[in-house]
Amino acid sequence: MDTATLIQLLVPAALLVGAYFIGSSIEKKHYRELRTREHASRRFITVTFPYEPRDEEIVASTLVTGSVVISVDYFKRFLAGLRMLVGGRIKSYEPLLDRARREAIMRMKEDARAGGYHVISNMRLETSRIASSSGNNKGTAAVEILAFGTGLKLARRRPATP
Amino acid sequence: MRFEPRLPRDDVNAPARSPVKDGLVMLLGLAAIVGVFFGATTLLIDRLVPYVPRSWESRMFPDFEELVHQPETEDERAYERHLEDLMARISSHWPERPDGLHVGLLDEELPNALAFPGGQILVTTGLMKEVESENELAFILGHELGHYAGRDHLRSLGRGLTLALIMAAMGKSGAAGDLIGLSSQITGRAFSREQESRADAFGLSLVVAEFGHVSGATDFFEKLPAPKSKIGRTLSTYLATHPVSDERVEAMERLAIEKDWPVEGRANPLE
Repeated sequence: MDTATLIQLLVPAALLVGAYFIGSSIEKKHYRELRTREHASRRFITVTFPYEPRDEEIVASTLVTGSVVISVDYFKRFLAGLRMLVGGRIKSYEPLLDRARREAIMRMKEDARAGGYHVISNMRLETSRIASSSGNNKGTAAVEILAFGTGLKLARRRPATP
Repeated sequence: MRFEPRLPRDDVNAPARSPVKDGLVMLLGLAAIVGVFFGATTLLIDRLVPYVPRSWESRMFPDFEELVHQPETEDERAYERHLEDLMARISSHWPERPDGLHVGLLDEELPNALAFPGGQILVTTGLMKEVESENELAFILGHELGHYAGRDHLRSLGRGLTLALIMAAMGKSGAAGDLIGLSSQITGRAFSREQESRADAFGLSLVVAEFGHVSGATDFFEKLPAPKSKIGRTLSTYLATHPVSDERVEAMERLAIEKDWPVEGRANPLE
């Protein structure tokens, strides 16, 4: 019997099934967790433009960041590989990047809150490819999503001195 | 300006649908396209092969001259003479035989015989030790001649090129492409097994023409190890390049009955 061929067939099949079940269970759990955290912090003002307080004044500012590094699993890469042949939306990567962006924003908010900041102003998102070595699509590909902005501390405006 | 707290929606940037169905559709669709392409090319090659002159054939393949084992002992020299003689006898029953048929030895322990493009057949020294009767050896040579009769070298070359083309097209797509490439490779082996079966039938017809019966011809297959477990059997049936030994024997027994070839007869022992 041609054992080498058998292994060539069975190993990817086992990896696919394993990666699918592990990957989707992690994904479901992460989405649940994200929704809870996002709901809890929804009133934390986070804007993409320079924030101008109305009745308050800015007393302190700092850089707040949140970053996530993600990689794809075997199953998602398999589907993306098929997509590279026929074209179209790589649906297997979209939830992954969606989760990464939302997680990065959450981490940034948590960073700001922990430092006692009230508002995040001028928020930006950046994506960088940090590792895809061999170029033959077999190296480990990873992406970093960075969310950053300016954390502002606000205080009630003091009445004008007479 | 008022800040409106809003939660990110789950269904805008990421599809709610599971990607499994999507992947299955793509995989099956691609497999179908590759299958149709592979089948059509194979058919086309089979149609074209008879028009390729035999003289072109050996030039299409790499040189193999250095493989031929020069006989060293008296035994080997006698064996080679016997091979040449047997080859001349059985090939005389094939009127359309090409010119330049030769048979020689190959220094290799595994019992095997190979037909090289252009007409050089090599029998391994391992096979030389295993084979006991002239009928058995005649069948092995006849089988190799069957590969020339079927123009199997060109067919295999064409199939190899088609596979290489498929692999190249799937190249950049990672595991998915590998899988499709591998599946077409395994499908290709079905064609290979068909070639072997036809070569078997051809070889057996030469044996009957020479000796008048089929007895002893398939003895060699009994000496090959058979897969033990049932699952091992089923798998090796699909993965192998050659049909499973006992199935080959059965197929040839059926053929002998169908053609009314005598089954009983005395096999000539080899000295």
